[in-house]
Amino acid sequence: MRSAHLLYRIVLSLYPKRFRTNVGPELFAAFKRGLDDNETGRISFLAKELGDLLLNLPAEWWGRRPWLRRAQPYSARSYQRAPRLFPPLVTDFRIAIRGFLRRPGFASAAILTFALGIGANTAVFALLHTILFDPLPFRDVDRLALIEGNHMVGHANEGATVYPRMREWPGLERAFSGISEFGSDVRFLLDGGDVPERVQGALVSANFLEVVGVDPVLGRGFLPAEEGLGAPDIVLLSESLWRGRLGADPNIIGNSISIAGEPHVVVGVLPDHFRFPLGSVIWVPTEWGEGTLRHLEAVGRLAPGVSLSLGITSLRDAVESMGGRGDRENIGAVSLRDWIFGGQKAPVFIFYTVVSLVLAVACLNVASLFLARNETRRHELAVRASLGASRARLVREMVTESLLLAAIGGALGIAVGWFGRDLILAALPNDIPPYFTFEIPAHVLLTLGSIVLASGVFFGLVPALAARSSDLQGMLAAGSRSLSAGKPRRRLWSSLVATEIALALTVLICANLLVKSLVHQIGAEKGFDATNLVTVEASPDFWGEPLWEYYARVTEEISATAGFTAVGLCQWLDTGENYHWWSAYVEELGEVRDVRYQRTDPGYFAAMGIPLLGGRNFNNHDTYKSPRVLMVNETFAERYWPGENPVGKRLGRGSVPPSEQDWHEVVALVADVHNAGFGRAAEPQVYLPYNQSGLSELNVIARTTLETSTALRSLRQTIRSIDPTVPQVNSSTMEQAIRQANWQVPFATWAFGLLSIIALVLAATGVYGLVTFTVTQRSRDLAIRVAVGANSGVLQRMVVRESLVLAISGVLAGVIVAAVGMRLVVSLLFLVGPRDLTVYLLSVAVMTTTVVLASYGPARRIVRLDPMTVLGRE
Amino acid sequence: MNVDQFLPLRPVEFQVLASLSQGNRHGYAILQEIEERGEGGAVPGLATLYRAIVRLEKETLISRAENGVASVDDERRRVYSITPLGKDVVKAEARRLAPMVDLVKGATT
Repeated sequence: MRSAHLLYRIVLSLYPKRFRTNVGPELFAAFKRGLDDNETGRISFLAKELGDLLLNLPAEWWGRRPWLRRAQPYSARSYQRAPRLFPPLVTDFRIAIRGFLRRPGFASAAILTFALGIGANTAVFALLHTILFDPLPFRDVDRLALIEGNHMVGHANEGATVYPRMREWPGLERAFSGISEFGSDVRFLLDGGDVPERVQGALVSANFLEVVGVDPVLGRGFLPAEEGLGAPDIVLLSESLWRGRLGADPNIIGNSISIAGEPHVVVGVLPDHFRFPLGSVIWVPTEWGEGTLRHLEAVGRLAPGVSLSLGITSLRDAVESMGGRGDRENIGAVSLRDWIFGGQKAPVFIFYTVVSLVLAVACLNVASLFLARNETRRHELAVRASLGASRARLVREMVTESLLLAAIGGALGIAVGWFGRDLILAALPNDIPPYFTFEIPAHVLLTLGSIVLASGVFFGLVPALAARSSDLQGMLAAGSRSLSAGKPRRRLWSSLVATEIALALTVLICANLLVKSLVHQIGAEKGFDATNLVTVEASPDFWGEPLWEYYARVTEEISATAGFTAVGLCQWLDTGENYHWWSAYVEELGEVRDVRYQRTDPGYFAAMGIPLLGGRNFNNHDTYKSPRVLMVNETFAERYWPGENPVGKRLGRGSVPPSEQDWHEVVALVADVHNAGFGRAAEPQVYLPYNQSGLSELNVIARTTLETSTALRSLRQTIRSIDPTVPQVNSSTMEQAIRQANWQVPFATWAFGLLSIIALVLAATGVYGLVTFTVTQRSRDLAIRVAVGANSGVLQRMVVRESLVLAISGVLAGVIVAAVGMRLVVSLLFLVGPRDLTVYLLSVAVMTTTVVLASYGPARRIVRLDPMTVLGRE
Repeated sequence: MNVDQFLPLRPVEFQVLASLSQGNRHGYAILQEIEERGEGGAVPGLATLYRAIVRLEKETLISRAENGVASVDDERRRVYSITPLGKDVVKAEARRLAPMVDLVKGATT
């Protein structure tokens, strides 16, 4: 009953006031009486009457008024006010827009601030989001774990894993809803067509797509019967391969492509952004049978409610129950996200923090703008309030105004972000892998949109509510330009601007630290001479003797070509950190050590400029028929054989001592290459002769005296003249290869730099606005001083000094925040401390200069101040 | 005063005028009268009714009765009476509708 009354009253309250005062009480009384009279059918009465009330509502507001149409003689008598053609909201918008047109300075400043803040965030977000999150196009990625076994010997053969298929291990079905084993980092030779090509791919079990949760763009995944011994020759391709090499052939499904001379039927095409594992663009089913020798690698989907640690435990229990007690500790799993991003959690967090800081600066700026706006409007508001405008109405108007500004600014910002993204991409070198798409995800737009709207309401509402009506009356009485009236608000405003300066400085310091670290990184020690080196990968599809003969001819022919002073071969280019690991069983220690490795030919060291410090170089007699040999780097020798001559010592491969003929003898000691990242301390590494392994994909490295493009052409031509069927890929200079491998660092620095510039601009706008306001507000005071003979230069300096005080307090706060907060950035920094003095000094200087410059402009207005005009206005 | 300019009336306006031509009534009584007279069909909702009352009052087809308050139990309940103009208009509307009503009657009987 009560609630029925309340409900009716609420709807009734939405009616226009003239209707409510006219018949409202009567209508409500009739409703109550009707409710009493219809005791049996109350609900239906309520429903009917509420519905009727609601249906009549729009008509009462906007309906064609019959008395407008026909009762002209009575219209004057009927309503004192002319009927409004627009509902009040539209009127509010009209008033707001008229206001903007009257004060374009304020409106454009607010819109620009929103646009810059939101736009920068959109663009940077899109860019960084791509790098940090796009490589994870998996369904429900947080349930995925990467399972890996190291040094697993199994229960049969030594030195290799012969466990059964992982998904058949006992007890795993409780922990994992699916496990797909794969073999990663496999290179496939595509030899159909004119130019043979090597591409990265993987062997995967049939349930691979199911487990990772990816749907093919075309065709299907593998069927359960299509794996194991005797699996059919079928492949899945990535969209990029299909669009590029195969010209987006619409009939590709069911047709075959040639891989190393064997036709393989294409059964499906996978989306381009899916490049798991390790940048794969081609996937073929595994042909593993029971106990096939392999490295244990798998991706597992944890069952609902199962934690990663429980998954690991069940893996270990399974190994143990199959008899591999010693292997228990050697199998493990990490979340797929961690595996892909490694140590990138800190950057993600920092990035979010910095973006939020810039957004906060933008919001503070808008807040201070609105504060200023209301300050200048106080007189107007006071007049309107005294003329009978209700407070609710004034508040509504202000909120509408700020919402409108926020909406325009936000829309503009997103547009700026969109085009800004393209601009940034165009400005960047071509070092970015092509499959990064830099899309702005919908939820980012949504988040930014709601932030905009929320700040619009907030900044409209708070100053509006803060302006108490008694205040307004007082204002009117006092006259709007008195010196003291704005004081408390100016203090609030000053603290807003000081906060802005502090936050902007923090962002600036962060960006400068990164820039300095990047500079260090570019000039960092590599351990070899990267200049004047050209490289190309030549990977023939033959093995053993013919392969070695081929590579011997390649090095011979290139050495004989004019313009090349040295040539060598290696398995991978040294473009930074070497992630390739070798299990070295050290004879003296009786233990295994994981070290990095590289496979080379004898010419590699001279071509790269890596000095041999003792022993002999590899030679052409080191083949698979001769005893196994290797070289170690200085760090290896110092760490495992300190103070001893490493030459002549022996290493085995794997976790147990090898059989006698499998020992590798150290034949030489070589200088360190910075294999844990340029500039960082070197880690132990071994070098193996390439022709003691079944390797067929080598990079040719040649030192040249020619101009690079000529050298590259000459290099490729020479290799092609030896055998045109051998595919050549990745031909570039060594320096290019290094840049491409390390593109994220300059990219992130760029993004942070952009953010810091925007923060700086925003802070400068804030200062500018504040000083402009101060000067305007105090024009009377200043004019009097000018009138009594004060030097306008002195006054000017006074105003600038005031903002300098502001800057100093902001800068102090910013330095403190940075000094505490920059510890978070340490992981990103390279040879730069988080409290690097020069960076701090530079940033503080830039910030202070910006503040002074921003306040100098409006302060100059004092010079133009004409006392007569100013005082005459009063 | 030309009554034609008010025609045609909306059904609810016609009902209100017809009801008031029987005597002065307050709003809720108009509704009750319509309910009693009608065959359970077109009974307007309260809001529709009051909007019609407001309109008719503006158009001076009805007016508030001189004695103002109808009953002691609810002093907010105002009594409406039909004006001479209103009487003319409702008669004109009835005349306008009569041929149509006859036509339909003839067709259905």
